[in-house]
Amino acid sequence: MPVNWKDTATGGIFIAIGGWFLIAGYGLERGTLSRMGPGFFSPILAAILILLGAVIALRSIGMRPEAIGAVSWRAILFTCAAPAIFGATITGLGLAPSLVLTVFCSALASRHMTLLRAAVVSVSLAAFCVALFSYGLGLPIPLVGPWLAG
Amino acid sequence: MDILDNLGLGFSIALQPTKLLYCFFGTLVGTLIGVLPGIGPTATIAMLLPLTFALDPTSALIMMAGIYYGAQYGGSTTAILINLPGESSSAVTALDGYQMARQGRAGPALATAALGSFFAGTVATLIVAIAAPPLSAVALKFGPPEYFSLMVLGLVASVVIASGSVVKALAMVVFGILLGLVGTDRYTATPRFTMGFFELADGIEIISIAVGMFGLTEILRNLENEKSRDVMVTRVTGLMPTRDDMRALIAPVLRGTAIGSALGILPGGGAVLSSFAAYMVEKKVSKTPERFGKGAIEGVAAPESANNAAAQTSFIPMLTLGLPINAVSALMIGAMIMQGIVPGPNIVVEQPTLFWGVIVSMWVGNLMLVLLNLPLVGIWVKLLSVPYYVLFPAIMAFSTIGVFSVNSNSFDLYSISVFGLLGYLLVKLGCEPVPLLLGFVLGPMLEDQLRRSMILSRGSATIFIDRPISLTFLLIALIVFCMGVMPSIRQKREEVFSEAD
Repeated sequence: MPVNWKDTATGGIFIAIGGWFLIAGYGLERGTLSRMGPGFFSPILAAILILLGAVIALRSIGMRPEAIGAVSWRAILFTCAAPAIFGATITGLGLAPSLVLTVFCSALASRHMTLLRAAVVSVSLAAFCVALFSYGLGLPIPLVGPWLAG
Repeated sequence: MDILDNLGLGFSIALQPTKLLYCFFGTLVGTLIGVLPGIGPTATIAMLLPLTFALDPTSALIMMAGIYYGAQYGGSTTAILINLPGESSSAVTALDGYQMARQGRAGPALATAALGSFFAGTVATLIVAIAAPPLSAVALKFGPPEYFSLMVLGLVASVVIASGSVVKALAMVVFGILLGLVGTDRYTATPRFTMGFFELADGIEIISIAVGMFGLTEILRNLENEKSRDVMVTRVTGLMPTRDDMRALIAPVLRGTAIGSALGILPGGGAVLSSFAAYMVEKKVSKTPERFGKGAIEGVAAPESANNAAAQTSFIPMLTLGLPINAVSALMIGAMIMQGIVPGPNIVVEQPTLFWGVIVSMWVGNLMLVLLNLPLVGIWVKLLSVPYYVLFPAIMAFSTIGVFSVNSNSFDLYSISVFGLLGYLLVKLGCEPVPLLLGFVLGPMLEDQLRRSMILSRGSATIFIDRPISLTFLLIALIVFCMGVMPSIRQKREEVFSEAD
């Protein structure tokens, strides 16, 4: 029997999410119908989500498989890492170096990117952003952080 | 005349130099991203959202609205000139607009789109100004049960209109509501689903969800198939339509405006739907339907008027009821909440300068768009030669700085990465993120109104069907849902979306 694994996975994800909200909200006070507590609405929603996930997963059996389409792992890695890099380095390194790293990382997500090109893009963009945000808009983030000041 | 006083107040706000500046900035950015394929208005507003917190609420909303309708406008330019719709709402315009351009009539096609949009924008702004106050007066009489049922209706409608599977969209709404409940419970101060992170005590930041699920996800989708763009642009000469063109234009523009204004109020995707509907209507009423697809000027005038009218009237539910009906208005409501304004029918009474200022600025913005687009069309098209690999790192830099500047904590940035990954996964699996965002924004309000209703009724759930207005909303929601899952309508829906893609 053909199975549309894409939908099976989708259903599974929603079941898992619903299950997590059910478990994480277990200890919350339910309250009564007339005085609902913090734990009244969420289990109902979580149960609905699990149900919908089950429907999606069950309906995938007997359906023709669907293609996921092109995926660029390189893009996923570098694009999703970029905000995290900014978050991890902004207080330590300060705005300017942190921006260079962030832009450099996100630029690498493109297949047309070379290291030299990424370096040029990141330094010039960082300079532009520093000029705009720090000098232009007066954003109170130190340009160079404590990790580099010592 | 009340309405004249109100519009006068609006003009006095919208014509202030700073407001004009933000309106101009908004329409400029909107046109820019409308022209550039691969960045939509939702992602852009999501990314600029943090930067708007530095502004006063009126300026922030004026700018965000400008980006939205500016994008509808800019999208048509590339659709006509290079057969590349910058926005999905301009997809239909490309059918006849590009053919006109190939016949050497790019100028009249652009002028038609611009003038049609301006006319539609003017009418739709007037409709908003006339319809909004009575609507919010009615809405002020709503109690918690009415609000609850109205929100249910809004969410159901967004599910039915979202593209793809209805069950998946429904699951996304429920997931969104659950995400909205994360944080401290307002009644008992109990932390919920925070996993011990104190950063989550105030709930998940809407900017993290927006930048992650719309910004990052959109970048990732564009990087799947990177192509270098070859832009061959015909020189645009002679903008003005001929006298015959003008005569042929009037009826389609009027019909497009009417269709757009009506469909724009629908939750979901008014602009896309209405441009398609307007095109179909023109083809039906035309005496020479065979000209469509071969450069019929009606095929440009009607959809362009319709999508611009819809972009304006889609603000009615947001301004009068505090209900978001698409991703952009959900983000604007998020911005209002973060600015300390409670969205809802009270805005008209309590914030008249904001309300009327924003409405009048929409008309001012439309005027700016005509002045901005027609003479400068060459510059906009040149922008297409900016490579995407410079564009998206710039977007990333702006949005990370923006998000950090709001709370100065790194947690919000890690959340972007998480929601970007999650959003991309869900999109790849055929789940649209728009219903999730609507659920997220409405979730806390939904729970709040549910609890209040149950306190009012002393625990009896029949309150929702005992009150006539509430019952009406629920019945409409039921009808809309049944229509949405009916096979014949579903098929039609698929056609609309596949054509729009």
